[in-house]
Amino acid sequence: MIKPRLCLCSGATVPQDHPLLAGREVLALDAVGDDPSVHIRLQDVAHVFLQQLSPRLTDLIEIAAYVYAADCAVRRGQEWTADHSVEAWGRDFHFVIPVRDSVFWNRPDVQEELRTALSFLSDDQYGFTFCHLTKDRPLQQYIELGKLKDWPFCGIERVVMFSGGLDSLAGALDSAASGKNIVLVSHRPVASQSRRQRRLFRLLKEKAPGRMVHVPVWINKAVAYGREHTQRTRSFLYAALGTVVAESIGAKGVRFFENGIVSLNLPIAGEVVRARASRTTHPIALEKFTRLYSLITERNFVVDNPYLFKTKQDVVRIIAERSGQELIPYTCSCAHAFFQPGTQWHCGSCSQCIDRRVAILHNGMGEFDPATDYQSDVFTGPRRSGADKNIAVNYVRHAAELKQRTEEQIATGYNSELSRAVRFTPKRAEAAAQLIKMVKRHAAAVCGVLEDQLKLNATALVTKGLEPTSMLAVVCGQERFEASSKRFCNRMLGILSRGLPVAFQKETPANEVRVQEVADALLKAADEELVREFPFVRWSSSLAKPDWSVEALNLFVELKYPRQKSDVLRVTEGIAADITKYGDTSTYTLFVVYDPHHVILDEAQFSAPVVARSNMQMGFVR
Amino acid sequence: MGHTRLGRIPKTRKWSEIVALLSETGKLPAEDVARISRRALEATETGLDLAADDPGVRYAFFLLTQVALASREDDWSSRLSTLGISLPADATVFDLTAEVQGAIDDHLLSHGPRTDIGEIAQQAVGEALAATAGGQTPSMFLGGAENLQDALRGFSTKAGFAHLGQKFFGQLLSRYLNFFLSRATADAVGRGRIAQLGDLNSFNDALVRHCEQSAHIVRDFCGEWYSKTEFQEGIDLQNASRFVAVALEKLQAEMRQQGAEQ
Repeated sequence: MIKPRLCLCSGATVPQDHPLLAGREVLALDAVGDDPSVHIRLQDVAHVFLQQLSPRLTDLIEIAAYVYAADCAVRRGQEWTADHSVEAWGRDFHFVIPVRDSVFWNRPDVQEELRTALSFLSDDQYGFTFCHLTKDRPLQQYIELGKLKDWPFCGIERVVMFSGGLDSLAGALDSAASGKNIVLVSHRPVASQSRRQRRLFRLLKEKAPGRMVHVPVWINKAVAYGREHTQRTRSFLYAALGTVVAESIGAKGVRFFENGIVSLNLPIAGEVVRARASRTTHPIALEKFTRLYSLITERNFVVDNPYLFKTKQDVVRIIAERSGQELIPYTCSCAHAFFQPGTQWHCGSCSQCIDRRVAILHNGMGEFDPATDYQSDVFTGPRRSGADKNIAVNYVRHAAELKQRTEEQIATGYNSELSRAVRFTPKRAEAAAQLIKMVKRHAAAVCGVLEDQLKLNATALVTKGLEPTSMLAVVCGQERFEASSKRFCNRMLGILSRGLPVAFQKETPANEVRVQEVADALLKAADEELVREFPFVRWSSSLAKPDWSVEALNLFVELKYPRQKSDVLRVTEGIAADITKYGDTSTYTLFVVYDPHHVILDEAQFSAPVVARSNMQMGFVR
Repeated sequence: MGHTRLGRIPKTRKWSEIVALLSETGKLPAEDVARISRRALEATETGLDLAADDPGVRYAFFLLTQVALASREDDWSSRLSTLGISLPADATVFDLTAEVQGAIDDHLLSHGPRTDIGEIAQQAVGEALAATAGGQTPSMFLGGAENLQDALRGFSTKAGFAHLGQKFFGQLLSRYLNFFLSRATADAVGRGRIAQLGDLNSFNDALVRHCEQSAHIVRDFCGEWYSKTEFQEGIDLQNASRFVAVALEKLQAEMRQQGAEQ
């Protein structure tokens, strides 16, 4: 169990004997001061913003920042409890936060919306004690004023959350196409804006017929607090910042642009339960944000996502339709932020990189997403054992499964996830059917791109030239022939191990031919596709033939029978000759050694010359 | 912004043995599912023991009984509304399952905490209802409240609820085991028994089949308990919870026996 935390924020204290301290570890957090635990900075903000920022909205920024900092600070999934059968996943936080509008924040309905929104996002339990802030804190610390004295427009439809990925680029292009003015709020983890990001916004601005304002926000936590990477409450902070900007210009709400596959985030494996799949823009999360921010702003404030029924492939098509292809190289989709300041922006291993690459290639737009921007090729690059490999395996398996399943089967197997996604939709069955159609489109696109990649890499795959840990090699079975041969061999060995001792219970076979005759009968009874003494193999000027072969598997089988100790040398020489004769062919060779009298004392030593070869195997039957 | 967190299996001897079992050559894992699932159950049985006390598991099963019972009533909408389930006039099977999921979510807001096993039980209820009621209607997305009630009424009898109960416990068990096993099976793809992705899919399918078949042991037990308890004292959250504990014990014993026979 993860120890519950008491988060004392903005210098708050509680007496030593306070009940809140019972069983809780204290985590002190501050967003201001000389050594803040979380850094927030809204940049290029109009001067009028400061006047419009109400105490309640300032509270919101701080509350969201503290929740985010605590989320980052407390690790989960590091241990197992209940005799290693329960993963320590959910956490328990209680925050004590001094606020400017304590009457509002202590309202039961506000606390309820706050708690349920956060619990849904992160699977944690939340409690809040809001006390009155006695000494106000400098607001300017969060704000960097830009050149604008006033916002150039008021009362716009939505503030657009602009993450700098493909989905938000499509959303910005879509929004700008109407000719209306738009405000983008973007988030990044570092203070400096990279050349690439600046160029993306500049190019975007050139494409927009109306005016466009960009408010970059950088949020990060002090290194000492940044241990947990799941950060499920980040979208709460992000939406809070969007709400603050929206409120300052009288916008009707905040708009995320996120494809439905990611919003829904169906579990790709059995282990992905609850918020192990992020719910950043899940319809329930957005509904809860809407309720909470409507209470805060005291008006109908909407947080929505118009791309809920679109796949990533649809999103990339929108970018093309809006003639935004040349902006694609300046977007970043990678989950690993540490790549972003470097020359390559994509790791190529995470699910976001896979999603991006699939969507781009599905639309035939690879030229706008250079492979050199990936540290490792999504399909053919090496993958480390563990999460990198598992994400590729699960991603493809999930897509293949969705493609095969009927719509009804998807509605049955993912019933709870689909039900939640449409909970606040008036016509739920219709919406669910639409979501399933989207999921099927996504699955078909993933499988289609994989087929294309398979064709492109067919030669390498057949000749085992692909990196063995790569996505293609693993999921498409580069080792298939070898594995099939090996599996076939193991089945053969199993049949012979069970059958030969019984067959020769009352008889000691006179010679190798006799053993082979009985073995042949046993194998044919088991319906094995073996052909006896075929084919002829030419070696130098002589011809040789294996005891059995399986053409489909390119497999040769040799059976040896050392009846007594003196036969061991003969058998060894026979095997040496077979290694020479078959070693240069492209076949897989199995040596079966029937040794009922244990005349071979050291199996490892005896089989060493055979097993040293990757295309040969030896098994002993006794 | 979407992210999926994949974890590790517990670092225990039992799990090391299961990993070795998956990595070794031999039968396809789908052909050896009884042995693999028994070993996984041995490694995680404390978690399943705790499931009987989990508010999510208990309420999920209780709601299953109540939905079945409601379908017997002339005014079934009223009975359902007391459970927080509100159906439109043209309700479909999906509308019903969505309402059931919402009712469980709402219940756990005040009667939580939410847990992984609770979530798995919620998924199992969704699948059990969707698979059984869905099979009685032309489509999960079409219909009307009366058709829906007709579709469910068949599961409100002793025999009908036995079927529903078997599906629920089979799903609960297979999803529970795969919560752990999927961490090991994905990593094993490409080596040993799981040579290709298809082998993994076959194993997952075999696991579901095996667990649903194993849950046959609680089939009649479910039906008899449901019928008798409703007749004698009425099913409530307390007696439903006690039943879940006993049913899970029976199911675990069956799995142990089946795996041992391999």
